[in-house]
Amino acid sequence: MSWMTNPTHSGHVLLYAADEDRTTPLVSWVRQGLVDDARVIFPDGDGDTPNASLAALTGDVRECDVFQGAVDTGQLVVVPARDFYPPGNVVRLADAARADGYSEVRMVGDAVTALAILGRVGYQDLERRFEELSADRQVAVLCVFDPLRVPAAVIEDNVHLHRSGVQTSVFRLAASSPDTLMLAGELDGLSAAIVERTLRRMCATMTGPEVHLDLSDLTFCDVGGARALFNGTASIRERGKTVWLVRATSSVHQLLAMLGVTEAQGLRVKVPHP
Amino acid sequence: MTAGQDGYQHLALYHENTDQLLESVVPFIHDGWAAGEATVLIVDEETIAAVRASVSGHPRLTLMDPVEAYRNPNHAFAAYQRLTEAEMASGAAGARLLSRLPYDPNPIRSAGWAAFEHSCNDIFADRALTMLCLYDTGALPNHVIDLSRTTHPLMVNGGHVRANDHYEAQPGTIAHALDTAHDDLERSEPTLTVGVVTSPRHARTAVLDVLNSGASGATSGAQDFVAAVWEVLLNAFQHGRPPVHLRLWLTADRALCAITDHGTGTTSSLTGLGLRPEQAQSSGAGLWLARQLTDTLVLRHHDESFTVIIECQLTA
Repeated sequence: MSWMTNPTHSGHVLLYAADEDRTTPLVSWVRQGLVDDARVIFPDGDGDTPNASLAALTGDVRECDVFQGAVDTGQLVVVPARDFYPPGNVVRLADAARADGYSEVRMVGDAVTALAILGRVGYQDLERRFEELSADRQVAVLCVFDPLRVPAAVIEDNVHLHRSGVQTSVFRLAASSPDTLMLAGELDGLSAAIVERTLRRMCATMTGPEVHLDLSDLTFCDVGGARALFNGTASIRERGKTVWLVRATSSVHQLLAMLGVTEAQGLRVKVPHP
Repeated sequence: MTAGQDGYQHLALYHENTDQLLESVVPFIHDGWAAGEATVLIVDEETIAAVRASVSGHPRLTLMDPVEAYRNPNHAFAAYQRLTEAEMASGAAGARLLSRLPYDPNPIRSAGWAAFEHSCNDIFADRALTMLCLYDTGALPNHVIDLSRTTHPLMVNGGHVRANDHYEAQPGTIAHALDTAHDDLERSEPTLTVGVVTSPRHARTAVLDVLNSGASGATSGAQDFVAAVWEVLLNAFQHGRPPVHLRLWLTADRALCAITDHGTGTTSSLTGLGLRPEQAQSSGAGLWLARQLTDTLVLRHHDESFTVIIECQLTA
C-alpha cells in the first residue's frame, strides 16, 4: 500500500506512533523529501548528537549512508533540539531553507521532546506556527506523538491544529477532496481515540451538505474503529449532514453492519465491494 | 398448561420417549393457539414428524432450521428475536418456541450452550415469548441435564407446569462449568505460543500468518476468527493486566485460541452474550462481536488470571 511508505507529502500531519512503530513512516517521509529536492530539517533527540539521532532514525546502515550524504550537501539538516523547537526558530529555519534555494521544506517534530523543552503552552504555540507554515503548502510538517508518552490532554488540545490529518504506523486519515476524507489501512482500537477526534474536527471543516468517507483502502476495522467512525461523525450528522461510507470492503462492511453503524441516522452506504 | 399468558416463560421438559414428549408438547401448542400465539419448532426431524402427527395443521405452526438458528449462541438470540417480532407483526399475540439445542460432547461447547440458556432469561424477560426446551434424558449425559436444571425457571411434566427448585437466578453452576470446561486440543502442544504479548498488532499478524498457512486460510471463517482473536487481545491489553499470553491450536478444520491476562476479567461469565448492543461503544461490544464471529467463546476466571477461549470450525 503506497500510502504507508509515502505519508502525506504536504500540510501538517500528526503521526501517532510509539517508538517501535514510527521508523518506517518517518524514514519514508524523510526519504521522499530528499527525492523531491526538499530541505528536510530534523531535530536531534534532546541531548543526543546529530549523528546518533540520524542513526536512531534510520536503523539501517545503507539508509544512514544515503542520509549522511544528504547531511553533507546540506539537504538534510539535523538541528539540536533546543535550537529547533522554539516557535520563532522553526520559522527562521524555513526562511533560511528558502533563502538557500529550496522551494520545499520538510520538518519533523517530536511532541515528547518539544513538550520537555517548551512546556504545554509553548508547545501549543509551536503547533500553531507549524500550522501557519504548512498553510502555504511549501512547508510540510510531520509531528510525532507517542501514544504512550504524550498526555491525552495534550493530544486533545492539539489534534485540531493538524489540518492534514492523522497517521499511525498502519492507518491514515486525510482529506482527498473538499468533501471526501480517505481512511486507509487498519483502523483499530489502539488508535481509535485519536482518529475519532481528528475525524470530528475534519468533518466540521467541510462545508457541503454531504461528507464522503472513502473506505476503499481500509483493510481492517474493529469495534474501536467502528466507534470512531460513529462518534467522529455524530456532530455533523446531528446537524443534518449526510455521511456516505464509500466503497467499503466486504469484511469492513460486514463489521459495520453487524454493529449497526450502517443503520445510524445520517449514515449511508455507497457502492460496497461485492 | 397456562404458561405463556404472562409474557416471557422459559420451561424445560425432560422426556425419556416420544409419548412423554407429546404429553406436554401437544397441550403446550394448543394452549398457545388458544391464546392467539404462534408456535415455531426448532427441533430435529423426528420430533417434527411426531408433533405434526399429533396436532392438526395450523397457519401459526412454522419451522426454523436448527442448524441455521444455532450457529452460535448470539445467532440464536437474534433468531429468537426475529421470529418473535415476525409473528407479532403478522398478528400473533406472542410466540411459543419449541426447541432442542444441539448437543455437543465438546465440554466448552456444551457449557457455552448452557450459558446461552441462562442468558435467555434476562434477554427476553420483556418479550411475549414462551420457550419450551426439550431434553432427552436417555440420550444426554448427566452433566448436561444437571446444568439445564439450573437455567430454566420452570419445568413441565405431564402437561403440568411448576417452578423449578434447581433454577439459579445467579448462574453460579454455569460459571463454574465455564471455568472448568476444557477442549481436548488444550492438552496438546499449541501450534503457536506467544509467551508474552508485547504488541497486540504483531500477535494478530502472527495468528493470521498461521491461519493463512493452513488449509482453511482463505476462508471467511478464518478471517472472522482472527478478528475475534483481535477483539479479545485488545480487551486484555486495555482492560486486563499484563503479562498477556496467547496460545493457538490449528487443525485441518478447527482453530482454538486461548488468551490469558493476569487481571480479574469480566464481572460476569456471560458478558457479550446477547442481542446486538445498542451502540458500538457499549461496554462488552468487543466480546459481543467476538462471540458473533465464532462458534464458541468461553470466559474462564481463575484465582489470579483470566482466560478467554475462542473456537471455530474452519471449512474451505
